[in-house]
Amino acid sequence: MKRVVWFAAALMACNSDKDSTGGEDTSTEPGSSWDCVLAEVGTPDGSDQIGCRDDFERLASDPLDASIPGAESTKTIVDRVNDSELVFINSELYPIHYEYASVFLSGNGLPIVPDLGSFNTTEYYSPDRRFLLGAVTWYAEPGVYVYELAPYDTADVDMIADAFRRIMASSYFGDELLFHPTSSAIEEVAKSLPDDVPIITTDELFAGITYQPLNLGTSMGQLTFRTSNEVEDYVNYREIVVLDEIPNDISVVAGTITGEFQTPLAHINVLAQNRGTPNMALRGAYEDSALRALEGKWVELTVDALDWSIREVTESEADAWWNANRPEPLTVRPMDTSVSDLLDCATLLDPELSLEDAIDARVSAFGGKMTHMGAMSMIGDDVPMPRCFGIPLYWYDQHMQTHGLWDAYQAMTEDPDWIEPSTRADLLKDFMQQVEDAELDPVFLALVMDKVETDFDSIKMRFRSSTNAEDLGSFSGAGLYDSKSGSWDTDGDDISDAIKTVWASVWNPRAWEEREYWGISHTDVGMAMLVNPTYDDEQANGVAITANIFDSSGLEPAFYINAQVGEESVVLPDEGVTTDQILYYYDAPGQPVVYIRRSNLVDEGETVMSNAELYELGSALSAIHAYFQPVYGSGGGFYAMDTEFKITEDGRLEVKQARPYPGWQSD
Amino acid sequence: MRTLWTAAFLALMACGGDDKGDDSSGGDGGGGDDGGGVVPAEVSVDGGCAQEVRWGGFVVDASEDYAVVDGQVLEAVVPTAVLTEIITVGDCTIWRRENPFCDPSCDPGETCDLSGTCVPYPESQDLGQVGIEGLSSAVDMAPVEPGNTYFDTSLSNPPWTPGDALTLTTEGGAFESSTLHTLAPDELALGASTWELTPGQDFGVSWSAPSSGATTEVVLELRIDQHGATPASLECVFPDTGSGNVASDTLDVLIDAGLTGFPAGALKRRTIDHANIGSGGCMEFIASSSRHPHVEVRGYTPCRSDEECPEGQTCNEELERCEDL
Repeated sequence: MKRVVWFAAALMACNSDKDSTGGEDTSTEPGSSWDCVLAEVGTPDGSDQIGCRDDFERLASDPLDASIPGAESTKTIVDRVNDSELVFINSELYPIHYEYASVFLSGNGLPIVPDLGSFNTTEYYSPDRRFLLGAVTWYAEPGVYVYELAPYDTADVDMIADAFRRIMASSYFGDELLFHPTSSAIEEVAKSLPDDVPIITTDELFAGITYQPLNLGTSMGQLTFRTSNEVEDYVNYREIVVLDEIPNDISVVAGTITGEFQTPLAHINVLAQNRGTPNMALRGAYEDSALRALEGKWVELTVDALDWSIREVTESEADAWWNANRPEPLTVRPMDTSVSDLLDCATLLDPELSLEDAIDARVSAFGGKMTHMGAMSMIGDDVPMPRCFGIPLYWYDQHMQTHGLWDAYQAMTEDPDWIEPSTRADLLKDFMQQVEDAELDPVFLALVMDKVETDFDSIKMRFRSSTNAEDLGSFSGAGLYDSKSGSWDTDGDDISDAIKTVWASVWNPRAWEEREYWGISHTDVGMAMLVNPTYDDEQANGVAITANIFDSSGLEPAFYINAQVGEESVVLPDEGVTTDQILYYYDAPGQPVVYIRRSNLVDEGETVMSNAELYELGSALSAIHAYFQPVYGSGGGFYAMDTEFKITEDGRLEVKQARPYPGWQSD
Repeated sequence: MRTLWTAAFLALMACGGDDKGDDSSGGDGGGGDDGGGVVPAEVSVDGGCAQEVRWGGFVVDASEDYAVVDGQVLEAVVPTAVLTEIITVGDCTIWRRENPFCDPSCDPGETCDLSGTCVPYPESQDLGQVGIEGLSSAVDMAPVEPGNTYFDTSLSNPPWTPGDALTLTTEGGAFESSTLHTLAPDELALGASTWELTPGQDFGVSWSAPSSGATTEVVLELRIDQHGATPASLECVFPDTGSGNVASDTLDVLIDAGLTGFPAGALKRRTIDHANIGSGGCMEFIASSSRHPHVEVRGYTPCRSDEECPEGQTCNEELERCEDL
């Protein structure tokens, strides 16, 4: 006789033998001799069996960690004190094992389950722990059930095999159950598992998945098909674009579907998050006949965590949707042209002010990127960063005024053809050239040259864009503007070129269109600069988010890190190049590492960063997260900082940027 | 239960002095339910172990609803159980759990010690039969596998007569036989059934005063990060005078470290004894009367659904807290 757990509902157990012929559900594949064991009414707390698909769905929830798309999961618990009884937990009711164990497996003849802190420090790590904790996850597209442990669980081979066999014997999918190692450490243990515990790797799971949700949401627009090269120029913001490959850049569009999988930190996804537009990947989308049938038509696209949908709508429906959902105009802080001094990062912010007030006081003069760098320099030794200084936007404004460029811009917008996107793009490119051709104020150039010579021994410097309309909590402006390196030379030509190139990038057509979409006044935007030494022959570079972007709840805290060898870009990788995509559980004992994807620029089995490098980065990310939390995370919801880092030629970690991470704006 | 002592108390009570491993208090462990014939006035209750040598112990706890015995003793200290003191103000201390780094990573069955070296994860030990006398009914426990856990959840409540001597004996296990004594504490009553914590303000707590001559102390515990992400914890050990104070300096550190789930607290009147075991280890025996107030933190709303949140906030159902929209 099998017992079904129905504690909260206080209902009678629904008893069922494995061989029972009762129950009407027919969705019992893959096993053949199973019947549903859960009653059709009521809410079960758990069950000691899963007899059919309906049983599973009644117990399962979205997994806390959605790093592999299309998953549903029910937690499992084996109580080794209580005859190793297995329970499949209703994971909607009890999102964490402890909540179930403390209610149903404590007292009444069983040992007391201690407080959560003690539970967490014992039950995932102790060799003689009471419970074996895990989850059965269904991955829809490869169509497999897998048994998984938390990535930080240190269960040994016997524990894994014991729990696996009990689940196998208690579920209709037992014959096809696989074990999925969720971290590098568990992969090592899994090598010694017996043959009756078959393994599926993360790479194998991904190989069977065709759909990847990146930014969730719904949008209406006109469905078009374009190659990645075709979107380098202007694309109408009412289009939902199906792309053959991942483009380096794309102007504002209503939605994106790429035929290749993306990394969550890829430029196209960062843009989608900023804009709140749905973004997904679907292998073979460019040739997909169902999508092709809708080419040129107005459609509604919905990107969900587990599935996506598209349907034809009328143009008037689409217009109504746009009118109801167009973004509210953004207001940026006005330019502060009262500061002309070049200031070091370390002394930029007023330590007497709160961090929020100190940032507010500087953004209007030094822009978001430089101001956040200044803030980061106040954290201390936990965050190694390059020496740097800032150029206030005073000098940009002076350049524009001295050479009549503000007036020239105004005149340009009065061109009758200005409203035509391609003409506008051409006019803006001409204007960029005017900004670059205008002579740099020699007094200003001398100031910069002297700073580089005196404080940086005349080494090559990187001039990085820092407008008053980027890296802000409400708008990241990621990737809109250019950075350029400049070498010190006696006449200052190279540095002059670098500075003017960065200034001119305010007017690149893509940046202009993006600002226009958000209703940002173009003449309110000024370009300051963050200046730091260039990196030659760096060992690795990457981007890291100070939270687990696959877990919006915050129950599985981790850092999400993309790392690549040398100077290869992680946000704009070359075609076919993959990066190390890592969830780093820095706060968990043993600091487990989960490789979601691996770089194909390192040898098989190798990683871009060593354990020691990851730990040092983790320490820096932890400090950054805590430091900025009062400014960007005080509301208690999802909060993270988006950082960039390098491993230098001599193996030093340097964090070279931190800004608020936009998160999931369309949620 | 994790029990900690303030630095001052540690200085007075650190292990290593007397060795109760051979029943230094004179009890012979041979009585029935009368504390083994031990006269309460003669009982030496010597306080707890220093955390660096605390291998485990036994607790008899009487709460509002039930009384239990619970115990486990390891072969060593789990490295991360040795907490770092962050701040102590008055009778209260904020502790931080360290998370050491080992490279290469430790294998299953190992753990990283505070110097960055992988060491065997301490295993729990079979102490043989463990008996407790002096309770309303005698308790005799055998270890339960896995984990050599000892427990008895069938005690009457209250399980003792206040002031009686309680005697715990171990025999025939991994260590030499031990005998430890405590005194059954008076039942504790809360001064207020709800604790309202306000950031930036001291929190005063009160409870029923003990019988005259009692040697008990009162421990306050707060758990306001119920989903366990924070490594910070607060513990206050008050003299049993009927009231105590948690300074805002410590309370704010705890609140800033994270708020999730439904806050919980406990106030425990206890007596505690220890014995040295094995090679450099220490085992505790605690008798406590505990109460669990409702805890509120001003400006913070725990929740299970959106309806429970104030306007402008939504419920993060996993973390059980209202968050800004």
